Amino acid sequence: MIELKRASKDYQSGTIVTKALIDADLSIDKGEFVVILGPSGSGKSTMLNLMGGLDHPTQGKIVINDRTISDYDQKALIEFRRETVGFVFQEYNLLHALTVGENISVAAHISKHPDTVENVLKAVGLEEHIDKYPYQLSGGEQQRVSIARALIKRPTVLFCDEPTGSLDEEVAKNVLRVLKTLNRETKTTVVLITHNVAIAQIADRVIRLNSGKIIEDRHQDSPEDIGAIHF
Amino acid sequence: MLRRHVIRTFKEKKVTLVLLGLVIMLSSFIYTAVHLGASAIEEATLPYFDAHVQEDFTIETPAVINPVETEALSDVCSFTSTMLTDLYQEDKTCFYDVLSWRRDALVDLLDVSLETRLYKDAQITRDDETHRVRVIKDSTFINRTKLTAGALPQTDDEIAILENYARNNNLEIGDTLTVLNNNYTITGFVLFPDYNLPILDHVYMFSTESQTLALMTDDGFDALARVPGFHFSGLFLTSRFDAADLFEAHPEIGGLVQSFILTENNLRSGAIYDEISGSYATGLMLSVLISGIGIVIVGLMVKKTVESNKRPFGILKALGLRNKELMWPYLQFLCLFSLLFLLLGYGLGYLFSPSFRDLYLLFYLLPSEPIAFSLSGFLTAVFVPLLVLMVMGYFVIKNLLDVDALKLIRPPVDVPGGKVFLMGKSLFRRFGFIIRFQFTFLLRHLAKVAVYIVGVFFAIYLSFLAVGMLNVFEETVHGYYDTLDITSIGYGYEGSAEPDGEKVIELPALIDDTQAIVIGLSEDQILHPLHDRRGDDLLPLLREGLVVSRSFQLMSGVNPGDTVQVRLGIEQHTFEVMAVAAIYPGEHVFIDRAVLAQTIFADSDYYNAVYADTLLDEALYEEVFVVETLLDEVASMNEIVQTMFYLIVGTGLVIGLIIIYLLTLLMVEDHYYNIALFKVIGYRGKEIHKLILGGYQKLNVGIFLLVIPFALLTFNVMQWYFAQTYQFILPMRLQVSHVFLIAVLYGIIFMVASLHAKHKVNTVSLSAALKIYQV
Repeated sequence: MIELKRASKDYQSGTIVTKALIDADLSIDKGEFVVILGPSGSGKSTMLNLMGGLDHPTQGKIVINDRTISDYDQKALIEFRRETVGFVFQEYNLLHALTVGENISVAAHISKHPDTVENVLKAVGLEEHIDKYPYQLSGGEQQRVSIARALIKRPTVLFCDEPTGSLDEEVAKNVLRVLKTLNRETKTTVVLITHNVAIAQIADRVIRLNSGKIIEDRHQDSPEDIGAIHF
Repeated sequence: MLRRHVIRTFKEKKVTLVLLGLVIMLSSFIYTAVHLGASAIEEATLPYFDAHVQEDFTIETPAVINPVETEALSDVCSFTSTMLTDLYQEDKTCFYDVLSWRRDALVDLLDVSLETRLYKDAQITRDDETHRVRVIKDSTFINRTKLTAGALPQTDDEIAILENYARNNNLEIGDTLTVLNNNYTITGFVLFPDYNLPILDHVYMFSTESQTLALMTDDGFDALARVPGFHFSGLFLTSRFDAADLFEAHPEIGGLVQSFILTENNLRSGAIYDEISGSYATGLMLSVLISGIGIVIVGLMVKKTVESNKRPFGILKALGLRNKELMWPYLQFLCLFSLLFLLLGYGLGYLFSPSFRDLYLLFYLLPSEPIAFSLSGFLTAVFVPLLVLMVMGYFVIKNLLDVDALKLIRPPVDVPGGKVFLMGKSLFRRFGFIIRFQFTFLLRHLAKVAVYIVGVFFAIYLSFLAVGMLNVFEETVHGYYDTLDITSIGYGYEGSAEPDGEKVIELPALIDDTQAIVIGLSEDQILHPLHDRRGDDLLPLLREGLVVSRSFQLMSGVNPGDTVQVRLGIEQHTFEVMAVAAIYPGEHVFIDRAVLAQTIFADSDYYNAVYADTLLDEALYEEVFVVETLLDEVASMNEIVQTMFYLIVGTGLVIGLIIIYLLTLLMVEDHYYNIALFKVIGYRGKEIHKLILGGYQKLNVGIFLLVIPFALLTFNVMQWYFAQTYQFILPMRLQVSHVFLIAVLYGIIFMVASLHAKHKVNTVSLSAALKIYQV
């Protein structure tokens, strides 16, 4: 479903070329819960940007659902992101002038077959908060709203960039539970990037990066229960 | 170090800074140009009025000799005609006796001092052109002549004229001028303080390209083969009064006084007082408004810039730097930047103030001083706005920095909980997603939206004002004559055969208390049709009563169905107003010629003017007025008005462009991370533009639609004010084509600004949304 074929990404600043990702070969199946693990600067955000159609590789190919998105121009990439993927960010990125319901509608508005706001809020356990403003919610609740916003388009893949990075342990576990449940019940593929080793324990599969290279790619037959992990 | 950072930060905002600088410069420029230009006139004019004893008022008396006068002067005059003009032809001494009797009678009745003002209208022949001249007989104590260059005429073949006319016609002192086929040597240039003397018969004509006032010796004046016109110039001796007081205190005076006009209410003389004080006020108001807009935008920009540096400032504060140390480089930059543009504005204002002064001098024939530096003007134009900018900048920055270092490093979320925001949001609850979204974001940035509304409203209104003005001369003169088939008008027919045209009576009269020109037309008239707004023929109504022009209606307030008193000399008659004619030529009232002739002269065939569709023979008339000449003069005046139009529309467009440009730019910056987020989610470019810019687009349409009724209202108020105060009709109009034109211009401006904003939107990095927390 998601394939990286010898994908590389270089960034150039003046005369200095930084190799952010080097010859990444990877294949993620539909419905997998994948954690991409690595320290800061290891290339995990670059990999997520490439898979999410936010950036083009310098070399190699990115294939999602049999579509080679690395060949897409910006217009086609927009259509791809619009129909296929959802994003969850570390900093929630909610619009503070809009209510919870309105924040979710922002994504529903451009979707061909969106879910209902009520449904996705129920899925993240926030159905009571539809008319509240983001500032009236805790950090964990805000992150769950951003997950709901990503879900309303019914994406086939959900990319999560350090979704628990700003949360304390208990709240972070709640967010992870939401993601896990979603993955299990809707078979939505979840690709989560983190530097937190503990989070990797709950994944079906862990891909470890270092200095732009994949140094480990392992499947976990019996992932840990979220309650059992400690950050 | 910090200073370098500030410079680097603002360096990235070069375009924004230059545009902001232009707004600041414009405010200083407008104030300086208006202030210095008006001062240059005021400083020369007020002492001139005092030294040359400008009249306090003018009294016009009837052209008809009344029975009281006939009886009082029966010992010295044998009256054979009822018109003063006829009397002059027959017995000049008697003519002047009547004038003296009238003056004495008025002085006995009123606590005033009066002097008879005499003038003669004649033609100047220059190459193939005929120009007009009003030769004024020198006065002794009221409205004394001011010599601006050369010398006063000493012999009967010498003449002094207006300097403006001389300049427009390349005439110099010593040149020869031909008046009524006689040659006169120009000895000097003169001015008269009583500009209520309308050059030609139209108060609207202020062009000195083909008309001038002039002075001759008394003998030269008397020798000029023309019937003199006259009125009385007066000074109050103790208490002041106006026309209403006069007619109330002396109801019997109606037979003697045709009109009583206070100088301060006279468009061509008194209006200068209002003009000068009005100019100061308008200049200051425009300047305050523009600088206010500039100051608020500067405030928003400073706020934005400091906000974007909150984190580093938090760290610096945590390291021990004080607020003042962080603030100082910003204030220094702000001070230097503002001072530079304010000084530039002052310099340009100083440079252009003579042009502004000369614009006045086109209309008012006044002396002026060279432009002089004024300390108070300089301080108001430069240091007052600078001080306001600095104080505003200080408080904006202080307000942002006056929190704990930690709050700067990790700013709390800006809570949108204001009552206005929530109330405003609830208003849009029923609308669709896009409209709700657009207006939510407008409500979220109320300060910016308020500046936007005020600025764009002001800019569009300026443009409407300019196009409204564009019509004034078209409506007043051109519009009127275009509806007629008259080529020339002859006055004082001296031939023996029937005149070659249509007989008309033109007489000054008082309609209730309003001065008017009564025009007697025949029902079978074809050269002067009379229609109402719907195009219905009004000539048949003349036998039943009066038809008034729209401008007279505005001045007097009379309406169809009203009964009015028409006073022609001592005669007073009651007529019903039948209709309003859709014309703006001045204070015209139409009546059936036969009725008028029979009523006043007991001769139903009486006429004193001839309207013709050909050029009348000047030899057969005392004066022939050629419509084409007037229209040419209107055309030259229209050029002036059009220049002003382009200037005002241009200013409005520049202000509008800068405001729309800057605020759309600030708006894109405000929504930088939202835009990134939308892009990541999968919004198309067009959809983002619609969400972010669409609200402003709708706001523009709203503002535009709001300006239209506001402009119409103010035009009507201005028209009413001018009619009531100066008896001058200012038919300002908004034509659909003009509204459309301005809509298109502003549409283009918004598109240009939007294009830039869209370009900015397109450059927003996709990954910005992934890493940076948005507030």
